Amino acid sequence: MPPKFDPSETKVITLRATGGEVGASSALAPKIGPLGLSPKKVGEDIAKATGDWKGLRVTVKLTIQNRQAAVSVEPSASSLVIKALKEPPRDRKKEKNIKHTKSIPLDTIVEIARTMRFKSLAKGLEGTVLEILGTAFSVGCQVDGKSPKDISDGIKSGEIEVPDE
Amino acid sequence: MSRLDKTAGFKMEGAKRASSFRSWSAAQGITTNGIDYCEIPNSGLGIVAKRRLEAGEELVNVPFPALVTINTVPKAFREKHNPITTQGLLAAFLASSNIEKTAYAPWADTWPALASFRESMPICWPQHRKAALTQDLLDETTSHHEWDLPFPSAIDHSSANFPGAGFEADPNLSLLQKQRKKLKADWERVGEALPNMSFERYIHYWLLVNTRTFYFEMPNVRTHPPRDDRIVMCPFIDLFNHQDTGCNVQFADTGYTVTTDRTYDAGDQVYVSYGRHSNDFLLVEYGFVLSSNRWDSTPVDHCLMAHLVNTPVEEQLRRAGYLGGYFLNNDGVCYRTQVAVRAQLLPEQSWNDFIAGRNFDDTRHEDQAQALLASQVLGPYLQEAEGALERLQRSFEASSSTFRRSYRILIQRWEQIRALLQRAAKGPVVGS
Repeated sequence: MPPKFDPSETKVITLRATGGEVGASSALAPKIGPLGLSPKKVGEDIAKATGDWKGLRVTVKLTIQNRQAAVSVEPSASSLVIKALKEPPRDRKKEKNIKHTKSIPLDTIVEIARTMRFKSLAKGLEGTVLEILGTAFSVGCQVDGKSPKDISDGIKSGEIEVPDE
Repeated sequence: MSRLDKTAGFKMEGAKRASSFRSWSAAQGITTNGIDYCEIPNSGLGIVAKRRLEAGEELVNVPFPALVTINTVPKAFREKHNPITTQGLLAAFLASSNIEKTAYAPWADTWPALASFRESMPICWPQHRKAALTQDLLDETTSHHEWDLPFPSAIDHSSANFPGAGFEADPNLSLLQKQRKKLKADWERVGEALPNMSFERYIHYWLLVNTRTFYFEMPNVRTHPPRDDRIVMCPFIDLFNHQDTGCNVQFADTGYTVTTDRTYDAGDQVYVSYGRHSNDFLLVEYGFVLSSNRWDSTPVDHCLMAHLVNTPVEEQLRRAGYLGGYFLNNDGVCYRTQVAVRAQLLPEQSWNDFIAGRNFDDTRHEDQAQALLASQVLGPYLQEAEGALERLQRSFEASSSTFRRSYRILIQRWEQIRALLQRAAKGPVVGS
């Protein structure tokens, strides 16, 4: 078909992977093998593209066209929150069931909300900040040394102010 | 001589006509920034930077009302032709509207003449250059050319005379056959609706639309027409030539915008990318091949399938979804091909482990797989390429000047295929 710039020619596959690691190709093979892509090579490409996220679970987007895949990291709230905790990298095989107990400043949460703004359906930035605080609560970390829940309540009652944009 | 001086030296398509297109574009609300169009040697018109362009600069903006869409065609005309593809309809509309006298005349001046399509588009090649094009072109039987033209199998199966193949590829899968079918269906409709239209005039406009349309979703219409038919013609942006990477092109309900992807020096040609297309596709649909194309690939089904059909592995491959669709690209053969080769080598259980990506040590089989690949795919295809090149070279030397450009394009394509094969044969490409 001749139309130029046809966006329907691409196929997008989204998956979760551990940053900087070459995952088992058994997860990739059934999805991308039939499209003519080598699971081993794509696995290596994913590890390379997620180098900044060493040891963290991130969402990876594969854009596939003409038997070639472009790898990009999709920002996700939990990955960004855990990254902001700046925990030392760990060996996932040895240390399990890790608890994220450290605290991050509210400013960082607002920064994350700005990154995630395009995905959020909230009306204003305040709503997105509340969403990120919810994620922080589920991750188990603290915000400004307090439970994220308390911060959310503070924002809702107007005690804590969040910038408009 | 600076690059700018060189572009100034390009022959302009009649300075007066050029300026009339420029003022016509401005009147349509098209804004351009730092670029101009001019004749590019061997590739028609193209867009050139007038000054140094930084990355992220907006080059062209074409507002929605300047586009030629399906709604530009009068309703009565549309209904007379229904059902027809958008491409067929736009072509009929332009061909029947005596364009030189309409408001589109200055734009139409920038379009290529039929002669240049006859040289570059494979669909026109079977018929003799001197005579008018006729609809016999659309007959499957005329794919046997009156002059010797071995096409790569992706373009046309019927002329791929592969030595010793016991496998009949589906001719409908070849790019040229698909295009022929599409044109045939459109022409049948148009021939009925407009009995006075000549085939030669229609194919000219059909190819114009084919090579110059853009994907576009009409405002407020998201489900209709079907994807393949969501096309519009867009003045000025249709002058950009293709490269494997190029400027960013965006469309919205308001129209089309082109933004630079990197810096360009004054006098550089500015490109856009029509999509990640192989050279076979570019040749059939647009009538050129890129000298270097990172998205290049060519199918090898016609070599490999002969070793798979009517064997025990055929069913095994079909069940797993790995039968057919084998390609060779810049990194060697694709993963599907590797899977098909291993189906012939490994016991079924190990092969299942291989395709499931389970803990399976493939290194032991690498050499064997590469040897099988060489004997079943790379070797025979290389032989075919050498044979085709020899024939083409001979015809090229004996041919009169009118045929030479077509021969040269085809020779270039076969040389690229030969280079792909030689690169793949050099080293084991397992897992790449």
